[in-house]
Amino acid sequence: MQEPHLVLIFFLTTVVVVMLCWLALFSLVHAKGRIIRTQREMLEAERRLRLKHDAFTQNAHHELRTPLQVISGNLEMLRLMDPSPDQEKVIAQAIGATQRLTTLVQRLLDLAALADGTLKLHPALTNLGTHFAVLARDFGQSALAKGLGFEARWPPMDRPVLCDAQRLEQIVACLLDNAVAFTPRGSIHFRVEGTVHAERCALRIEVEDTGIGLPDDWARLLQPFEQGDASLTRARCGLGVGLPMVAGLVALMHGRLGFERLPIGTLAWVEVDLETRSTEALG
Amino acid sequence: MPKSFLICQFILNNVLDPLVLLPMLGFAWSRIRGGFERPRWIGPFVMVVAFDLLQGIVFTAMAYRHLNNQWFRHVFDPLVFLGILWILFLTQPSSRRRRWQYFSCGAVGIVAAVVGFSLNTMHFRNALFTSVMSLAFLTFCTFELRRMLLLDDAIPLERQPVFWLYTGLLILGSGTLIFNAISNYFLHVLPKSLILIPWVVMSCVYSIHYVFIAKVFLCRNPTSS
Repeated sequence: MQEPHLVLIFFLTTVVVVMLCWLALFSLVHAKGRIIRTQREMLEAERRLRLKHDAFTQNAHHELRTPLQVISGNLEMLRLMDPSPDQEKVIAQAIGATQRLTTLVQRLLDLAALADGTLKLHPALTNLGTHFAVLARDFGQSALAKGLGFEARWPPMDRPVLCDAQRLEQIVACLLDNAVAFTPRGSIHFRVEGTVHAERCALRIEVEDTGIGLPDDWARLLQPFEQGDASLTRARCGLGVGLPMVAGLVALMHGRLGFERLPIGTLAWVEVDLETRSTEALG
Repeated sequence: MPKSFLICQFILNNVLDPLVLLPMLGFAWSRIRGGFERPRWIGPFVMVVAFDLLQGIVFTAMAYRHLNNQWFRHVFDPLVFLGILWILFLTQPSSRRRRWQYFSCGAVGIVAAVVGFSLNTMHFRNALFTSVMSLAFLTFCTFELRRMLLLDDAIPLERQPVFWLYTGLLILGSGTLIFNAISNYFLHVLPKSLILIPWVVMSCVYSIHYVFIAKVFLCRNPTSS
């Protein structure tokens, strides 16, 4: 090969290599810039979505709950106006539906508050025995109305505990509600065990049913709006907000929630560690 | 003396060689004006750049005095190479794997320098070592740039000093690889009229490298939005 050709080839090769290098680096900078832009757009979209979500939650308080309370009040007034038996039946159905809707709206709002971290617990000294008795009475009636057996057992609550009783009641009510709803025959057991040790009370609440049992992928039921059976022909309606709300509240109480599949039915349990006080503290 | 030789010599001496000062000028400017990024590796990097500049000046001065300066490069190029490897190592958090990679590369470089010296003698360029050096820069900087791209941060690449460091070394490694491998062949076969052309081309590549290294010192501090 002639020397000028050799030099020319070397020159051209070097130029090509450097140009390729430039091209690769330009592509790299461009790609990274695009990734950053996309990330920013996504963050902005998420921020806008959160603002809308907050606005919806605020509006829902007013636009959904207030009319429901008005309807509920009016229905109660109608019931007091000496209606005929047929009218009373219709009013009772309307009251039942309104209560279900009120519960649903409340759960949705609670779930939204849990999601954005605005839901706060309001612990106060309370005797949980009273709350368990109310729950056992209400859900015992529901179970009996459905032809199910119902057994409730809790230890005597000698000492008041410091907890948000309303939220704890909400947790147990949701588990009992699910148990009644998904048990076509058999019985439901509601058990509470409490171990007091050094001013602390380790509470374990169990709800056992002989119902249809949990699906294999039951963990997804703890996610909002997930259903065991999502088909339109499913046995029970609902939005899939109960268990996520329970999971959120238990987490807020630093407790534990678990489900166990039984040969027939399901065992749901909640463990929370509560502070206890002497009985004089209740005043 | 052939005319092409004189033109090339003029370009090399008066246009391209002075560009070796660019990195230190960039550093001086960054210190005078302030407000530029100063990552933790920038101090050692300045030392390496200053050492490289110093040995470059001595090398050029020896050339002007018509002294054999190849032995000087044989000795000091490996030191500069190890210094740059050290800086590349410092640019990212240390890990066992990373330490092992850079240490191995340094060891391979030293072996190449010794073997290359015995092969090329004191009168020619150390083709083996310089080729290994180019390959090392090419490989490490490609991987580091890839890692930077995949990193989940929101800082554009061109605003990070480390990007300009990798880019400068990548261009140097890729642009000089062919030359380093065959430069001694050029010295053997090219007539005097053509002999300086490859060196002019290489100086152009080095100039791009110096511009990028100067930019390492001139990345503005990120401003809060």
